[in-house]
Amino acid sequence: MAADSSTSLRTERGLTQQAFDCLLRWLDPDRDRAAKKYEDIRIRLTKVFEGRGCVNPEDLTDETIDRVASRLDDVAARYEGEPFLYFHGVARLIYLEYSRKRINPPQTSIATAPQEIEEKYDCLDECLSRLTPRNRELILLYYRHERRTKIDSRREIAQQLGVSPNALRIRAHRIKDVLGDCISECMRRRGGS
Amino acid sequence: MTDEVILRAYLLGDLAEDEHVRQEERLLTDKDYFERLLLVEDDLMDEYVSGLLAPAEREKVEKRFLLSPSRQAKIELAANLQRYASELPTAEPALRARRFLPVRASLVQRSPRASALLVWAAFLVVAVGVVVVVQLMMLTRRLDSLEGDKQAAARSATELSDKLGAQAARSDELARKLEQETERRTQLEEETANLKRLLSQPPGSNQSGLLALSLSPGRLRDGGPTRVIEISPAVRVLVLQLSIGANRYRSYRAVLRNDEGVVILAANNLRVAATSYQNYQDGKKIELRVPARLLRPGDYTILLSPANSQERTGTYYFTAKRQK
Repeated sequence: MAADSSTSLRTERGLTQQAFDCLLRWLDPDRDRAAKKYEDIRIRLTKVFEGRGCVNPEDLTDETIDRVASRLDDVAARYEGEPFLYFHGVARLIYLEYSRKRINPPQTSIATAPQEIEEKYDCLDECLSRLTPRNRELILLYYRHERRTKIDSRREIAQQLGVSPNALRIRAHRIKDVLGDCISECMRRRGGS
Repeated sequence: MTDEVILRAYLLGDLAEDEHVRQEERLLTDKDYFERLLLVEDDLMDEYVSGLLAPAEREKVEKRFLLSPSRQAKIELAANLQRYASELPTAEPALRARRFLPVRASLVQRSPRASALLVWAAFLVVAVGVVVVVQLMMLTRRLDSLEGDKQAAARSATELSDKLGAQAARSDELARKLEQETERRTQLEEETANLKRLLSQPPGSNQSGLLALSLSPGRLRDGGPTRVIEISPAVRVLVLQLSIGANRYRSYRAVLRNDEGVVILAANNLRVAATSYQNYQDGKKIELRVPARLLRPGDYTILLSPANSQERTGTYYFTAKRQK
C-alpha cells in the first residue's frame, strides 16, 4: 500500500516543515534513508491500526507521527532504542483513545453503486492491458482457479512459470498493488471515488 | 505454530493481547515478517472472495478485517480479478486473447460508446477489405483478357508477316517471269523480222547477211537465261541494238569482250538510232555492228558508256552459237 507523503506536511495538526525535518534527522542522518524509513513507518503503522480493526487507520497513523514529531526534542534527547518501537508505543496510546471514543462498531459494507462497479471493472480491464504480457498472464492464471483447487493450481502455475509458490505469491501481490494504484487513478480520471 | 498461522490469527484478531502486541512490534521492526503478513493478508482476502472461509472466519473478516477502506478496495480488486479471469474461456484462449484482442470482448458489453466505435471500426475494416478483394478480382480478369488479346495480336502479326513475305516472293517471281516473257517476245519478233527479210529476197540473190537483235542491259549471265544468238553461216554482221532507256548523251562508246576479258571490238561515236516507229515502241537504242566472224561460240559482254565520260550506261550479255 503506497503511503501519501504529502500528508506529512499538513499544518492543521501543527507539523511544521522544521518539525518534519527534525523527525527525518531522528530517523536517519541520511535524508534519503530517513525518507524511506518514514514511508515504512507510515505503511506499517497503518497496518497495525488495521490489525486493530480501526475504520480510519491512515488518520490514526498521521496522528501518531504528528505526536511523535511534536515531542521530538524531548524524545531525541532521552530515548534510546529503535525509533519504530517508539512510534508503536505512541500508536497504542492513540488506539486506546480511539477505542474509548468509538461507541458502536461500524457496519462493514463493500457494496458500491452499480455504475461505480461497472466503472471499476472497466478500469480493471484498462489497467490489465497496461501490464506486461507476462504479468497479465500471471495474475489472470493466478485468479483463474477452481475454488477447491486453489492451492494445487498455484503450485501448478508456479511450476509452469519456473518459480516457487512463495515467489508466485509475492509477484501476484506486487501486481495487485500496481493494479490497485492504476484503478484508483483511473477512477479519479473518470470522476469516481 | 508457524509464522503464517500466527499471522492469520493476528489478522483475524484471534491472538491474546500480549501476543498481539508482540506481533505488532515484530511487524514494525522486521521487514521480511511484515511482507509475509501482506501475503497472508492477500490469501485471506482471496479465500474470502472465493467463499473458502469457514463461517466463523468469514464473520471475523467482515466484522474486523474489512473495516478499513483500503482492505475493502483490495477485496473488490480480488473479486473483480476472479470474475475477470473466470470469464475467459480457457487459460490458453486467455493468452490468445491477450495477443490478438488487447481489449476484452466484455468491454463491448459494458461500454456502449466503445462498443459502437468498435462495431463501426469492424464494419469499416470489413467493407474496405471487400472492396479491395473485388477490385483485385476485376483487375485480375482484365489482365487475363488483355493477355489473351496480346497473344492473339501477336499471332495475327506473325500470320500477316508470313503472308506479306509470301506475297513479296510471289511478286518477285512474277516480275522475273514478266521480264523473261518480254525478252522472249523481243527475240521472237526479231527472228520473225529476219525471216521476213530472208523470204523477201529473190532466190539466188546475194543475201545481206545481217542479223539484227536487241539486247537489254543488266542481264547478268549468272542471274538468269542469257540471250543466246545463233549465228548461221549466212550471217556476216550482227546488228546489236542496245537499249539505253533515256538518252542523255550525244554519242556513246561500246566495248565488246569475250568471256576471257579480251576486247573483241571497240566502237566510238555511236549515236542513238534514227527515230522509227519500232524505236519509239521499244525505247531508245544504240546500234553496234559486229562482224560475225569475230564471234566464236561463247559468252560475250558489251560495256556501253558515254563517249566522254567514265560513267557506265549499261552492261549487256549474250552467248554466241554457231549454226552448222
